[in-house]
Amino acid sequence: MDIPDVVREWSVRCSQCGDCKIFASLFLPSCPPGHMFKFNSYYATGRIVIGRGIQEGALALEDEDVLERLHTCTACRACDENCGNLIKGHIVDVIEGLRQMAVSAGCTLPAHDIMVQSLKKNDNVLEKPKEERGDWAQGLGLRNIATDRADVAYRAGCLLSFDPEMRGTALASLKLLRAAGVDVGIEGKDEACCGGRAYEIGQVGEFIKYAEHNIEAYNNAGVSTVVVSCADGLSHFRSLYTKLNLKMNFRVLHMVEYLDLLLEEDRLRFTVDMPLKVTYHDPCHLGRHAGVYDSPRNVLRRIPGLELVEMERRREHSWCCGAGGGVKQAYPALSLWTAEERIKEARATGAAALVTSCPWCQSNFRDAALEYGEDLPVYDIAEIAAMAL
Amino acid sequence: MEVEVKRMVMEELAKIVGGEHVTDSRPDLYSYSRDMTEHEPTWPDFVVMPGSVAEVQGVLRLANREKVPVVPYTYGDNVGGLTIPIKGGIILDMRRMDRLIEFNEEDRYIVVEPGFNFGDLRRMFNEKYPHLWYSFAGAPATTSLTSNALLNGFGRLTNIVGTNADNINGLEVVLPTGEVVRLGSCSVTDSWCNRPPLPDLIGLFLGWQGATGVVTKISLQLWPRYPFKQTRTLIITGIRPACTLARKLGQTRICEIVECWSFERAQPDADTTKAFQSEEERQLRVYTPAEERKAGTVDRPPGPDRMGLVIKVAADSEDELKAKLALLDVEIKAELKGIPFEELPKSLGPAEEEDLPAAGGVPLGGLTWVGTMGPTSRWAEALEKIYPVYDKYRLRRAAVMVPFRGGHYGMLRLVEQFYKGDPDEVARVAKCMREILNVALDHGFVPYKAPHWAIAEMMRRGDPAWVELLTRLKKMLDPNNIMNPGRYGDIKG
Repeated sequence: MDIPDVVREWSVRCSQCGDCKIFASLFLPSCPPGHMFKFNSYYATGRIVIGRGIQEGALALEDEDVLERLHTCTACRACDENCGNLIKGHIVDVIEGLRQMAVSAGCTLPAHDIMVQSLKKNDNVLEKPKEERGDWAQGLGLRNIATDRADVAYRAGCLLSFDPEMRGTALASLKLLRAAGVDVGIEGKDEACCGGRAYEIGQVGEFIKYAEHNIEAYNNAGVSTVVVSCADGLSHFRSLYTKLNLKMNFRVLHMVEYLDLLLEEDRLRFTVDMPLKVTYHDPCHLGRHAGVYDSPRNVLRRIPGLELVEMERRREHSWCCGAGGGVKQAYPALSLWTAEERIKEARATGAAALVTSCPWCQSNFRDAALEYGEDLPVYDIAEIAAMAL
Repeated sequence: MEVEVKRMVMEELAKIVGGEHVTDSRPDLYSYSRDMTEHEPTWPDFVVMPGSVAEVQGVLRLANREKVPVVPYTYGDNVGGLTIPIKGGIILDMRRMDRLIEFNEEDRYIVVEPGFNFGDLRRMFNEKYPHLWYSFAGAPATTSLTSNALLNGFGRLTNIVGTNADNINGLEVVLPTGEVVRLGSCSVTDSWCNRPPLPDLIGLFLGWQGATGVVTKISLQLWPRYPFKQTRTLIITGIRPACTLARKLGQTRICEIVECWSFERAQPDADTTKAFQSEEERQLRVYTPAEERKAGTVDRPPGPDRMGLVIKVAADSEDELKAKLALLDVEIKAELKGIPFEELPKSLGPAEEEDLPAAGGVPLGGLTWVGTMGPTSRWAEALEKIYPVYDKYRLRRAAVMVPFRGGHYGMLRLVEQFYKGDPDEVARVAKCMREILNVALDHGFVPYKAPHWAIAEMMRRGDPAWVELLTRLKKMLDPNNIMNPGRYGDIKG
């Protein structure tokens, strides 16, 4: 069995001390599956120990329970934030390494197989026809960067491209970019998944394919900047693509980072009063994965009349929405419960709306609101910002 | 356990606690089979999470009927292999029972269930009771208040409080045969305020490592959090002057804690004159894995030991603090006359109480110790014999000494961090710890949170009448020997 170095080296280093279970200094739960199921094996420490068991031959990847423990992690990296022992990031690296081992051994989850088949057929994990990817932008008169030059490429990502209820974020983003006079284009139907979700479920081969494709496409288009609305996409471009040693001739910014920049440079101004009390949810991939905490708050604070109230678990100590790491597809009940926990926390602030900056988070919060009968509206920052123009 | 019996027990457990709170799944069992120590893992047959006293009673009655071992468990972060189920059976994970039963601000005590942990209490202090404090250990925030106290754990108020077992006012216990009993003032009144003056039966459950019953509620004393504090850190050359000063400072009773430690650094040439800016930097500079592996065996260069002495003083007023610090100065000058020492600036000192409970500190995966309590007057003598044992096994010297309750007795803890991926290192650590235990016992130091092999050694050495009494008590409370077998009361020496 081929064991990734990170698994071999670090799965013996977990002391099982339990630091990963709660946010240090807040003393509040940090791990969604651990907090829901309680048994050790659902926490980071349990998964790392499972890694040791697999290496020792005491546990097998073919065991459905082993697979379930490995795949109920949302890869939110809250454990990595808390752990005082392992070098930062290594816990989720170990878990993802174990998932890669499982895939190599032919041990996969049916829900993930569907995602991979969809990727291969449609270039997205949502089982949506590839041809429909650019439909959201019909009638906007946007240039296609494959044929026309543009300084900035806007990347809607899978969810905003295919889910009609989520398209508002992409449209709002374009409205903002145009209002700031940005020379922007899109890939339209040629846009492809970032491949990050494939990486997270252990499908490294698929991930590499998309990383190479996307880097080549944006390099060939000659754009200086790729702006993404998806926090997952941002962190995969920034953290995973760079591991491949492929040259990227462009920078990648999340929409909130770019908005922050445009506002700072006075290329964009908000003029409409928005008398709304909101709380902000830090997406794990934007926050803990990419370290972007201030930009979204800077943008929100510039909106006239808008009041930002913070949840106790915020920034590095943010509770996950539950959608990441392939959990939403394979374990929807866990995913929705995790989101509902966050909605309850948001409600406790007295906010009239929950704002975030990741379509996966937004989508999962909306699904959880439906499931649990919540009436707290959920917005992407771009939607609120566009209303304030 | 026979397959049919196992299936029947599993079904009954599910009826008692609900199917989602019991497991016999292999990854679950494996993750409860081991801990951070060098002890060999042993698999349990089931892990059960009760949610109420009635469920605990149900589990114990079933286990008693079927003679299935039961190991009480909270968060599993002990350093003694205490929850490794030596004879299999049920791990009774108590973390679902995490309720605060009573917070009595006026009489300064708290009644909680076993799943209530250090972090929960610290959060309550932060939110509502900034004037109160607890003897928090330098342990993870998930550490159970109940387990810590029952196992004679201690925190940062040791020179006032002693161990946290000394903090206990009362207990509610489910006996191995399923009856519920309350001990302390709560046994005859509705108050959980005090432990004396009744015959003290709480001792039947203290230090027994769960071998006599399952504690389901505990009342613990709270302490004032003083507004004026100061920490001083001295680096002293030589074991004897450091140990003597620690003992004397304990006896003055002006300190919340006096902690005397000696840790050989992973990188002997690491620059210790600069503060670490972050945990990552600390890891890289002192515990960098690559460096650590190079130093898998340590050959200590000759020369005197450098000992650290951390002294924490607290007071109600600035004047009181000044007076205490002045007295401290007098003692330090008197005891260290002619002895080389330096005082570290505050920025280089240890973490303040704000950081408690503490995180991290075990970057190699392995941590074990021979933790003992005994006469502070024999610290130096014992340590001078123990350090060569570390050298013999080519391990890093590491000891901590702390006086308890005004220095009437004290802790001598011989610690070792080790890399779990190296079987040779693990084996050396195991042998070293066993040899150290004997030296400690020879000098009057008795192990707490004792691993089974340390209990066996005490039974071998101990007064036969004491051993017999332990065995009789265990038999009386636990006739079928289901509670954490292979430990106290189940080893005759």
